[in-house]
Parts: sequence; structure tokens; C-alpha cells
Amino acid sequence: MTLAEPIGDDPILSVRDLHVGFDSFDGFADVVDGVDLSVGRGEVVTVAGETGCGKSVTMKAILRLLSEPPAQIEGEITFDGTELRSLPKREFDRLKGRRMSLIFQDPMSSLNPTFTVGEQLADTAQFGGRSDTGVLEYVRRRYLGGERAEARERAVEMLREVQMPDPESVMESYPTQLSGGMRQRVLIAQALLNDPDLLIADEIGTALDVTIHDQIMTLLEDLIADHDLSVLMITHNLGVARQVSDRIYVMYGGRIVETAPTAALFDAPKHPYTQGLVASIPRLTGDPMAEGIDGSVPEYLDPPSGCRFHPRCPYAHEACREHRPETIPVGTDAGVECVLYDDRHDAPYDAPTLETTRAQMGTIADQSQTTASELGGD
Amino acid sequence: MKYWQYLVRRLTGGVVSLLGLSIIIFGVSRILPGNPARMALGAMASEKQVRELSREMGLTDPLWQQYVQYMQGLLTGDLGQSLETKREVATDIAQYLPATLELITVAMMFTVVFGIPLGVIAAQNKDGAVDHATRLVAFFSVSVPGFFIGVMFQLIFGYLLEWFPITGRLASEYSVDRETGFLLVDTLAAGQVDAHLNVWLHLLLPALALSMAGMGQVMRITRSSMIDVQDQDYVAAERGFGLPSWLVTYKYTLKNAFVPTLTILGLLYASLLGNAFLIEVVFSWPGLALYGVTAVMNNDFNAVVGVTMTIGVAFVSINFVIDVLLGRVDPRIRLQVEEAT
Amino acid sequence: MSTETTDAGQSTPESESLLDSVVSQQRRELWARAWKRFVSRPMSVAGLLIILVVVVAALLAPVVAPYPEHAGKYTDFAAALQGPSLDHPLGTDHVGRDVLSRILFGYRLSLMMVGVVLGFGVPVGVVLGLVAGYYGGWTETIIMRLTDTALALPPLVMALAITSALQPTLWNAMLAIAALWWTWHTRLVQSIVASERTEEYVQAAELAGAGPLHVMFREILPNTLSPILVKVTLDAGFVILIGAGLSFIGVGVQPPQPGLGTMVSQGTNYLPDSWWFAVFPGLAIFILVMGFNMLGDGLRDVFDVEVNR
Repeated sequence: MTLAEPIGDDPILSVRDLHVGFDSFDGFADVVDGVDLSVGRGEVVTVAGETGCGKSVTMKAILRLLSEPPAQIEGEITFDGTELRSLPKREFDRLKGRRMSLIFQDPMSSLNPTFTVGEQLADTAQFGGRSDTGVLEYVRRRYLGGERAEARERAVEMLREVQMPDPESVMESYPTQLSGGMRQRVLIAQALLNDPDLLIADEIGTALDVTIHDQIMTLLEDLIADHDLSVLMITHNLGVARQVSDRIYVMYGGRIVETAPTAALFDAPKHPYTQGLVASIPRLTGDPMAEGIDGSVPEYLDPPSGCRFHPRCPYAHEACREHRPETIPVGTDAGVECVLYDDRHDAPYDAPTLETTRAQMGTIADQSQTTASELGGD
Repeated sequence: MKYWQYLVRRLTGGVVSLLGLSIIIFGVSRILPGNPARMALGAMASEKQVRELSREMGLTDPLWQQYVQYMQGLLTGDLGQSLETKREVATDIAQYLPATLELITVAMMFTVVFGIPLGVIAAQNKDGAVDHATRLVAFFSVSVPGFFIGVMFQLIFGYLLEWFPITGRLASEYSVDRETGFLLVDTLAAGQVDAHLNVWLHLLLPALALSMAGMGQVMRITRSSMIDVQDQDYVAAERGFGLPSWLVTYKYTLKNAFVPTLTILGLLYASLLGNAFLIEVVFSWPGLALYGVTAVMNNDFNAVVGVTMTIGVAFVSINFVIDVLLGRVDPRIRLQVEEAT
Repeated sequence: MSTETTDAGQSTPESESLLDSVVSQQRRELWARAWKRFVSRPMSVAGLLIILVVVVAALLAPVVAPYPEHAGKYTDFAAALQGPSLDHPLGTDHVGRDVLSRILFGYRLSLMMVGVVLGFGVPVGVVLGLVAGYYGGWTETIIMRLTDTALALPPLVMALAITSALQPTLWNAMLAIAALWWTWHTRLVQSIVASERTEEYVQAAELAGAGPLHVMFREILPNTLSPILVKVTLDAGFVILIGAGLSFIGVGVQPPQPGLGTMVSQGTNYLPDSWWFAVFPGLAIFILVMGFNMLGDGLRDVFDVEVNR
């Protein structure tokens, strides 16, 4: 068992050595640089990281939402025993709508403004994951027989399940007539209509205000339990990750730098970056993290050598600049990509604790800025 | 303000424009030099005859009375007599209008049926060969005079290749009861399949020539709005749910992209009506425009007023229909209007 | 207007002139950058070249045309309807006149029409647009209702109706088109002014005591110049098309004058054998209009403005 599959031999989703790069005007940018991750059956897994760390690109690569070119994707993505990268489009589409589903980031822009909620939900219920439906078949099943009525009933059922007030009238509404929280509920309902096994959720609820956001997260927790879902969630909000997930991957600069079960990650974060994140969580709210770590996410056109975090790391030393660190297993279900935990390298420091990092954070500001410019991080 | 109130306001605006138009035409006819009675009678008539006709035509009344009379005529559909055909202008218009409507409708159909899918395809192959081709076609179509396309079509497909007849609506060997005046309908209603096909043969060149200018515009505007919409999150979400890709493109994306296209269809109708004047002349198409041009050339003023007002009414109605459609296609427009007031 | 300027100057003379020079320098830089972008586009440069060549050829028509005397009433039936040859590169018409020469003189009429229509329509339209947008309220309602009325018909039909009430001559056709044309510019300028009106620089000028004329013409007008320029370029092509259309129907340029549309119309009587008579004048219209459209399209990208025809 490797770290990518800490949950047994049969994960529902596993990603191995994923590389995603973009050929751009200014050169080649490798935005995802060898990511390994997996989601066990019934597990809720979060990929957390700052904006621009490559987590959304990872998700899009899994769902084939990137057009190639300009994107260049390498690696292995396995869903329930099927290798996705080599799967013909037709079969992939079948998986995409029926066994995997997704919830997009912004509830305001993820619903089509010119169709009623009912039309969109009923179409998804009837034709989601059936991309081989032809025009005639569509017309027949859409307009003839009782199938449409059944689909609408299913949609209403689902709206009820996401605790939508007055679902019948919502079916007749256009998205612009709904509040943000209601739209988010519609999106969740839409994603669950075809009873998927795996749900991929991008920054769910973060566009909403705090109270609604909490309601949505509670709802999501219930739904995950009820529908026995496996979930891959992406967020920049560690508070969200803590609330719902079983396990967390922390991503930085296109790499997974640490993974651990949620409780362990928050109690004893290992990677200096994770420590910085955890240390900077405001106590009460779940506000965006990472304000406590100085500097910004690296440029992908010319990323820092070795460990990509080293220009911002208070514990960086020579080895960090020279080699990409290996993943060091911690127990059976956690790991960290940092030389501080590698016995073969003699780090000049002891592995820091959360407290040391928290103490450090007051002082690293100016220091890391100079390192960043010296090492050509920009 | 409710959307229907907005529509009523737009319609009122249109009616006011028509009123303005009637004043302009009236003013032009009465204030400018040249006595209509003299024009009607021709240069050979005596002064006495002119004076008599002037009194008969009410030309000696005060201007505002003349205008009231003129408006009464317009409103009751009494447009006076045509000097040229010696018939009621309203009768003439009823006879010639269907031919023009048939031509314009088919041209509009070509514009939409070719223009929109080509725009969609161009958007999907952005910067590809199809895309560049549509750009060239669009450029070409707004730069070439409509009548010149007609002449070229006649020359190539009529005279040289002899694929299509050059003028008229129907070959003389067919006779059809003109129930509606729309020959496509009449021939079909009478079960004359041969004649029906012959009508299509006559229609094809003028309708295609007429549709060229609009086709380029529809293509380009559909393309650019499709490109905008394709990048929206909801399109990615719809693809993410595994909906058939044709459904996402032609139902979910196109409906959003259709709004700007629909907005210019009103303008397009104007350019079709305008160009119809040229195309009907080129193809000797016995329609309203050809009637109007003949009337202009013969100083047949009643007929000119009739044609102009008919087109004005058609134009205002079309724009009204488009306002209604816009509200139906895009609920955002309805909401915007309702919230703005 | 000069009094307005001094009024504004008196309140804060130094800051005003400083601001003025900064603003005008910014404008100069804007235009310089626009020129650079323009030159880097082969399409727009080609459009400009086409226009220049045609304008020069038209101006010099009496000199460069092979048979300048063919521009008017001239007949040589022996030479009628000859195909393209060295003597007559574009053939001869039904009374033996050189088609190329007549096209060059026809360009003069087309360009004259553009000059008259836009020379009248643009200033009138811009001023009315400024007034409507700046004052708003009733002034705006009346002016905009007037433009709506003028746009209640397709321009060609409107021009046809007006021309018919007068007499079908070139001048009347021009008058009719010019009487319509200001409306497009009124609409364009009004919409820009209505949004510029609330901008800070306008309010600043008003606070400094500038009168309405100063604000309209010195502050707002410069910001409407680039869209107007784009529109004028696209308009030129459109005016040529409408003029040619009127001439084709027979209410514009009258024979024996060499109107391009008139020539196509005459030429259609001799299809298909003497095709050059109708085809070359038609192509001539197309080329010039294409030139204006290419230039206008390029300018639209260069100034990055949304202007429709």
C-alpha cells in the first residue's frame, strides 16, 4: 500500500503521478507536477490549498474539462478500476454524468439563466450521462410518454431532499429569481440526481455568506451520509475541510505536500506550509486561510527549484533548493513531502511543531521576502 | 414596471414614430414646390383643370384640415387611387404585398438556417478554417451591393449555367388560383407539385441574393456570442453532467447566445426590406417594392405613401414582435426591465 | 465658447492649465499608440491604400482616364459593346463609351455623395447628440423621438420616398440621405454623452464654473471622437451602397452622368453577352466599399470601440 492509497486496495478514485502543463505564450507552465491522490469508497477527501496551487486544474483534468492542447496531461487516473485517460470519450461521458458528478464553484454562474430550474433538472435527470442520445430519441423521451413527468417528479423529490422551500414553484423559476443559497441547493440537487458514487465539489459554498454557508455544509454532510457518497472536495478554506472531510491533501505549487486524516492534520501538522495554514486559521470564523504565510504562490513558468515552498519556508536550507523532497510516510495513512522528516538528510533543524511555527510567523515576514527575491522565486 | 407595460410603451413609441413618418411624408408632399394636382394631370392639362382637381383633392383647404383628411384616409385604409394603375392603392398593395413577404420570408429563412449554424460551427472551430471563411463571407456580404449580387447570380446561374429562371415568380405554363397570394402556399393547396417546385426555382436566386448581406452579420454575431457563452460556468457544468454535447450546444448554449442575434434580426429585417427594393427590380419580382419603385418613377404619390406607410407599419410590428420574443427567450431582459423602474 | 474657457480659467488658472496639458498629452499618447496598432494590421492598411488609390484616381480622373470625354454625353456606336481590350481595358458600353473612364468619373460622384452626406449629417448629428445627452429630459425625448421617426423606415426606402416627393436627381438623392444620416450619429453620441455625463472630469469642469458649451465641446466631445471616426469610416461604405442602390433603381445619378449604380442598371440590359458593362462597375463599387469596411473594422479594433453600422 502506498500513500496514494491509504484506504485499502480498492479506492474509487486514484490519481497517480498526474502532470498537467500548459503551453502558453510565454513558455511552458507545469501547473500540476506529479500529484498522487486517492479517494476511498465512502470517504470524504479534501484537497486544500491557496488559490493558484493547482487544485482546480487537478479536478478539471480528472473530469476531462481541459482542452488538449493547450493543456498537456500525463499520468494515470483510475475510477473504480477503469483507467480514465485511455477511455474512449463516449464511455467516459457515460461515467461522468452517472457515476461521477460535480458541483461547480459559483452558484451564481453555474445555472443556465435562460431555462427554468425544472427544465435543467429534468434534462439532467433524463439525459445526464447519456451523451449518446440522438435528437430523435431526445424529442421522443422529452415530449412523448410519461418519462418527462417522472423525471420532473424525481427533480422535485431531490429539491425536497436538499431542503428547498416550496420545490414546485422553484421548478418553474428561473435562476435569476432565486437567492444564492437556493441556487446552491439546486446545484447540489442537480449533482445528486443521477445517484452518483463519486461527487467532486469545487469550493462549494464559498461564494455564499457565512450563515448560509454553514447551512449548506451541514446539508452536504447529511447528504453524503444518506447517499453513501465518496467525495473529492476542493477548497481554499481549511474550516470547510475540517468540518466535512475524513482526510485532507494539502497542495502547494502543483504538488501534494502533505496528507493526513483530518484530526491528525489539525492536531499535528507536519509540513511547514501546513503548519502555517493551520496556524493562520482565525479562531472563530472560517475565513480564507493563508494570510499568515508571507509571499505568494509560485510562478509556474519558472518555478522555484527543489521544494517549491522553499522561498517562503522559515526552515529552508540548502537541500530544499537542490532536490524535490521525497514523500515520507507517517504511519499508514499519512505522509509529508519535506526533508525535515527524511532521516537520510540531516536537517539542521528539528522537525518544527505547530507552536514553533506559530511563534515563527511573527518573524518570518521580512526574512522570507528577502529569500524569495534572492532565490529568484519571481 | 411589468414587462407588458414596457411592451405597451415600446409599441406606443413605434406608433408615435409612424405618426411622425406620416407627418414627414405629408409635409414633403404639401410644402415642397410642385402641385400634386398638376403632377396628377401632367404638363398638358390647363390651369382650369388643375384648379378644379385641386379643389376636388382638398388642396385649397387649410393645411391642418388636409392633414386630418389624409390621416383619416390612412387609418381607414383608404389610400386613394393610384395614378398609374387607376385602382385603389390599398387593392394594389394587397395584391403585391404577398409576393414581397414571400420573398423576404424565404430570404430570412435562408439567413437564419445558414447563418446561425455556420456561426455556431465557426465558434466551435475558433480561428480554424471555417471561422476564417465565415469572416471573409461576412466582410464580402456587407461590402457588395445587394443588386450586384443579384445581377451576378443571374449571370452565372441563370444565363451561363441555365439552372434557374432569371425573372418572375412562376413559369407561364402553370396557372394557379391566387387564394393567398403566397404562391408556395397556393400551389401546395391546389396540389400542384410541379408548379410548387417551379415557384421554388424562381424564388431561390432572389431570396439567396437578398439573404447574403444578413447572413454574414448573423454568422458573425452568433459566433461571437457563442464564444462568450461557451466560456460560462453553466456550460461547463452541463457538459460535466454528461448531457449530450449537441444538446448543450444547440439548446443550452445557443439560447443564451441567441439574444444578441435576435436583437439584430430587427435591423436585419430593415435591411431586407430595403434591399428587396433592389432585388425586386433586378429579378422583375412583382412585389410591393417593384410597385413602389414604379410609383416613384411615375410620381404616383398616393402609391408611394401607401407603400411607405405599409413598410413603416411592417417595420414597427416586426420590432414589436422582436421585443416580445426577447422577453420570452431571456428572462434576464424581462427582469432587468421590471427592476429598472 | 472662448468666454467659457476664461471663466473656467479664472477660478484656478494654474491647476486648470496643468490638468489641460496632462490631459492633452494623454490624448496624444493614445493616438500615437492607436497609429502603431493600426500600422501592424495588414487589413486596415490595405483598406486605407484602396481608399487612397481610388480617391487619387477619382480626383485626377480628367487626367488619368483614357477617354475623359466619355464621362458625359458621348456616342460612338461603332465602338459600342466591345469587350475588354488594350484600347478599352474594361470594355465599352452600349453607346461606345469606355467603361474604365466612366468608372473613374463614377467614383467622383460616389465620393462627392459621401462628402455631402457625411459633411452635413455628421456635424448635425453630433451636435444634436451632445445636446440630447447633456441636457436630458424633454430635450432628449424630443430629439431621440425625431431620430426614431427617421429610422422608422429602412434608409433606402426613406430616401426613395423623399426623393420621389422631390424630383429624382442626384442632388435630391443626396439631400434625402443626408436628411436621414444625422440620426445615426445622434444616437451614437447621445449614448456616449449620457454615460460620460456622470464622470468625474465633467463634474470637475462644472464645479470649476465651466459653461455647458465648454463642457460639451471641450470636455466631452474629444472622448467621442474615436467612435465617431470609426462610424464615419463604416458609414462611407454604406452611403456609397445606398447611393449606388438609388442610382440602380433610377432615382439617383441620371444618365448620361456616369453613376456606378446607373451603369450596372444599364448593363443588365446587355447580359449575358456584354457582361463587362454590368460587372465591372459593380466590382468597382464593391472594391471601394470593401476598402472603407476594412479600414473601419481595423479602426474599430485599434480604438477598441463598439460601433455597429
